[in-house]
Amino acid sequence: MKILFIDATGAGFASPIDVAEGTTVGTLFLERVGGDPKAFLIRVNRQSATINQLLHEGDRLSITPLKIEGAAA
Amino acid sequence: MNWNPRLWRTARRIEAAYRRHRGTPPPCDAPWYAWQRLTETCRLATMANLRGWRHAHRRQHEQLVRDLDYLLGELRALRGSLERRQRDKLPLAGELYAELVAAEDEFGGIAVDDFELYVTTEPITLESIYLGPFEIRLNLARLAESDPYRVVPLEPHPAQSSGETTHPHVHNERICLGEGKAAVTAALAEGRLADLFQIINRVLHTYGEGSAFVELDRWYGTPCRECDASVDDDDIYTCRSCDSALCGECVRLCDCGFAACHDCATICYSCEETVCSRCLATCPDCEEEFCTACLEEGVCHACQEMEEEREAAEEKAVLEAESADDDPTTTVHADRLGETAVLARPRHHRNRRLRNLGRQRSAAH
Ligand SMILES: [Zn+2]
Ligand SMILES: [Zn+2]
Ligand SMILES: [Zn+2]
Ligand SMILES: [Zn+2]
Ligand SMILES: [Zn+2]
Repeated sequence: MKILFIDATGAGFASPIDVAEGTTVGTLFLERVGGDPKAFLIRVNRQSATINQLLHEGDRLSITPLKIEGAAA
Repeated sequence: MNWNPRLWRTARRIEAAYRRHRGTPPPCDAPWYAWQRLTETCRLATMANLRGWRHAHRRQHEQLVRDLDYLLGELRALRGSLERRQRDKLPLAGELYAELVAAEDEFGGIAVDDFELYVTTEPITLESIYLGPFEIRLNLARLAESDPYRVVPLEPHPAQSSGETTHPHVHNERICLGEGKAAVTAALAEGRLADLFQIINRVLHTYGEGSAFVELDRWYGTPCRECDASVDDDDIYTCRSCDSALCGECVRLCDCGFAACHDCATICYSCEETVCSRCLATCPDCEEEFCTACLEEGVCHACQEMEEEREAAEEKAVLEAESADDDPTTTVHADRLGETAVLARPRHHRNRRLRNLGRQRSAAH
């Protein structure tokens, strides 16, 4: 099935990706981003999501780090 | 979720703003010319085959391969442009509405005034420094520009050295997004406004040490090492020996302009002024430390005076001895004669030259 994946740790464009049926938020997080999920804002269809939540066809998953370092000029 | 007509109106307004700033995409053009060329070559090749024209058939076959490659190239280009267009597609009011609802939910409100859409962050404290809440404002009239947003402090707690720096990464209401720049640019291009506000919010909640307009350990100026008072960066003195920061009250300045802290400064034994380590010299006779102004030919005034007094006494003794020589009743001692010969040159100058030589030699090591 296809979902829309938005990874704000990288270039940040929304891209459609293929995932197997039964994939959870946590599995995809580990596969695509990795690290401690508590350090990220994880949302499915614009609502905060849990690690064990199952993904469904057409879902929109977005992952935003809680800490993003700015710069000067 | 309840329908929110206010947010819907805002979404329609933003949709129109995107359309105005992005312009209309060029019309989609199928490569019919390449297809036409291919079908014509196909027809000629079939005819050559039917008529048994072997040379012509081989030529048409080669042409067919070239025409197919051409068509495939054109089709790939079309597909690429459609993918790009999909990525650059204008966000529709329905998606924008969902984004506004999400942002309102995450920030506890979203508002629009004359031409800016904005959310308010919670009060932000970084490394125990309270910076207050900020408004993140997106300028709907500048959506086509690279950074149409500004960050406005609601309770400004700027850096002591720069009133315009209200956050380590915000100067003059402009935020330097650093690692968040690419994600914000993508969110803006795709109309993901909740993401845009949230990424900027996360940058505001993060301190990128070493890449800030003003580092947080200098937010309230720099503490003076001696009295602990906070000092503006412009008014700070640095001890040239140990690099510690000092306020104008505590710094000790040498005549040469060098600053020194209490521990690194020396007081001239004679004039009691501050001397830096560079300008400090030790009198070889009394071994006290002096500023250069208080030494003459490397010796302090006191030691010099003592020497002069001693010389005067010696001279007096010699003169007395000489007058005694004229007196036939006095006996002449050989060792005293020897000393008279040496004293023909002022003794302290000779000794000083030797000392200076010795010092130059030790300095050369
Ligand atoms: Zn001080
Ligand atoms: Zn010092
Ligand atoms: Zn002195
Ligand atoms: Zn000096
Ligand atoms: Zn001396």
